[in-house]
Amino acid sequence: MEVKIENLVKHYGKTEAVRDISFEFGAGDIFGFIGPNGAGKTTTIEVLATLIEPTSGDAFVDGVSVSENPEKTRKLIGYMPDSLPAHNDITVHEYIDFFARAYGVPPKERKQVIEAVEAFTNLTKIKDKFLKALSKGMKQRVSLARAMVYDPPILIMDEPAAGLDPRARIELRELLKVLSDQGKAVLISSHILTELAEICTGAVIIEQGQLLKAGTIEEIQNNDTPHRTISVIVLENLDSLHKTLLQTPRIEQIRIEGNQLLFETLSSEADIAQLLTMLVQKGFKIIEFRPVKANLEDIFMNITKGLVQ
Amino acid sequence: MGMVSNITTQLDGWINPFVVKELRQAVQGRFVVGILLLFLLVCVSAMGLYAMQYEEGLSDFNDGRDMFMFFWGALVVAGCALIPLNVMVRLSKEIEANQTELLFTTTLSSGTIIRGKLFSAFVLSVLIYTACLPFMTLTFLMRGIDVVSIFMLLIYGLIIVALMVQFAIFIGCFPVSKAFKLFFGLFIIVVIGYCCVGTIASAYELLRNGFFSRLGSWQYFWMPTSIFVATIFSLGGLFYMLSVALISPVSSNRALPVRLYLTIIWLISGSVLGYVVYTEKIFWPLLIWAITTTFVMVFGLLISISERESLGARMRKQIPDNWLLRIPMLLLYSGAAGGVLWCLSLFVLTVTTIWSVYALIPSGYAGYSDVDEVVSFMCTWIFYFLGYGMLAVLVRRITWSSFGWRLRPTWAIAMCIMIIFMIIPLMIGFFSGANLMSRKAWVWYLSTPLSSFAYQKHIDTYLAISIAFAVVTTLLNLPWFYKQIANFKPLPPVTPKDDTETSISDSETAAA
Repeated sequence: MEVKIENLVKHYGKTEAVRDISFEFGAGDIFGFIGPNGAGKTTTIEVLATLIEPTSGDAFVDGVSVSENPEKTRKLIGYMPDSLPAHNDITVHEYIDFFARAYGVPPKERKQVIEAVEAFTNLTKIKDKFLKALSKGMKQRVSLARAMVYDPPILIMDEPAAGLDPRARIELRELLKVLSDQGKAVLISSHILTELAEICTGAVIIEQGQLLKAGTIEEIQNNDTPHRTISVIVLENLDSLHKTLLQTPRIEQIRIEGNQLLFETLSSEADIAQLLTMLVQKGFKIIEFRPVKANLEDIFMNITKGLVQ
Repeated sequence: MGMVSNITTQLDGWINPFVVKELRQAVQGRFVVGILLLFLLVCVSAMGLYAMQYEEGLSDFNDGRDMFMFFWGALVVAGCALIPLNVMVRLSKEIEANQTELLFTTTLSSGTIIRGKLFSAFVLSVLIYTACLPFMTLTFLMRGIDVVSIFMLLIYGLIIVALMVQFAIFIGCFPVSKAFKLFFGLFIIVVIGYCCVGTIASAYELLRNGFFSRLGSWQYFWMPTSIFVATIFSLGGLFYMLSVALISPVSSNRALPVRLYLTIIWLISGSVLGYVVYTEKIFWPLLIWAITTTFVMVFGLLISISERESLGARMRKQIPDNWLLRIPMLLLYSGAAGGVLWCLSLFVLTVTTIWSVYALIPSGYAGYSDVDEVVSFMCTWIFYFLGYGMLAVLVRRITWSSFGWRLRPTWAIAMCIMIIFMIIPLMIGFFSGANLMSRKAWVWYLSTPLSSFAYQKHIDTYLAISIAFAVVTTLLNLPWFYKQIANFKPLPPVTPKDDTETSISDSETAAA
């Protein structure tokens, strides 16, 4: 199961909401869809969810075009919108039952499926509550249950962590990990980068409708920093190490933070390995020598300019 | 037990999900329970009051009929006003942008959603009818009404309720702002008010004349009943098609079912009325058919000019390769130019039919002498609206693109232009001292389509001006027509890109 977005363009009048975006993700992936407000995240997600039609380009779900066969792709996609209707006359169970019926879950299996989904999303205890009486976190769970009730291989979530308290966020994160382990492809649009960094296997960063970065977290982290940050922890002689490194070519911004020494270098991996050998030969008792990777938040701040359309 | 369980499971799988959801919400909500209780209270109070004031020997043998009409009136108000209003409000809330996922993200078709809404509202109406039945049975014992009349009026009421519910669903489907919703709400309250009064008054008249004695008459019962039922169902069907089109995704072929339905209804009604002309030796039913077609096509023109001008992948995929098949598809598929051409084609066919039948029948048929006048009015109307519509398209094409606005309400621009064109000559006439109320003031009303009825003597001038106006504005929009017709072609098959395949844009560029 693979989702491919190819040269997607969406115009609203003269406004170019999405400009020629291409990326892909597959089974078991949790992809973060990151961008400032007005970047085109929701537009892209709505195209994927078959709610709107692209101006040009297309998205393919398991090879099926969302523009040409929206009905077919809807069966493959579980869409979790950023808000849930607040009905005061329908219970959680009835609401999920409605979606099970709407997606054609066979009557014989329906009861079991709904109970399983309610148990998975921890809704069993509140299944008889009306939607209006639910907290934001509970509504997000209902929204997730609703998207999962027909077991789609792809889940698309629009701001699932927005408005959730820390506990609900952690629970949502755990649920997403389980879903990923089950082989589902998950695309999450979110502003909460720290949350995404911990669970996402990949990310797509867009701004002003344009794709800035896409790929696995490692690819993005590696691509983002042409110069590497290296962290060194030694058993003793930290000051001596500092002096030694100051005399070493192609090493910059040497600084001591606590018990570790950090420096930046443009050297290749082979040169870094040679540097480590040289330090060991000089008698430094090295406990740790590792590259420090930029986190998702740093990358996001580095490559976006906070521009909106 | 196993068989019963199997049947119920089968039924459960067959029931429209929206019916289950709506009925559950109705049971748990306050509205339906409130109406039901209020209704029972009204019925019990009415019966109680009747019992209290009843004196033996003073009855005029109409007590049963009067009581029945009271209950029936209450039923009509509940079924034709309260239930449709409830459905409309609920649906318009679901249509709101932040809740669209409820309607659009499932695999249910738009038709299934509308049928579910219609059926659930109809079931609620039947529930209220059922609550009223014991009281209606009592009216039979009170004399003045027979079982056939009760039965007929109940069916009559249910048909009207079904139409009103479908109308309310249609209004509820409009994706408009809250201010417009308020306007629509007021509009539907007025319509419902008229409908309730009309239904009760017509029922009283029907009851006064009696049903039973007319049951054997084709001319006085079955024919008018058939025409009434056919009209109501056609109208209900149109509202259904329009509702389905309104909630269908913009990318889908929304116009096709509506245009196809109207074409079929036009064809069937024309054929039936043609047969009536032949058997009854009267021409006017066909003239009414032609006038009705003209009015529908005027609305059709205004809607068509607001439709999409470029087709997406989903629609282009449905366009046939064979260009011979493509011509009728251009008229029926969603698209502004195709819509305008469809309206004009149907109008031309209507006029041709009228002239053909006119040429074939003897001059003694009722309505025979009115043909020239009726056709002149029809043409005046259609050409005026075509002119205003095309002018609106021109204005929008020139101005809108420079502003880059997302909404393209061409119909609203057409209406605004028409109002301006109507007001300016009147103002000039007013300030130049002309008596605008006199019969000689027709020249100041030449830009007003409606006034052609008031100045029948000058219908030829009206017709000439409307034709000139329509021709000029249409010629100015020829590139608009050409572009859409040229782009009405199928899409080459699309697959996700890989190293060995060519993309759509690549292949199209190569073809170009």
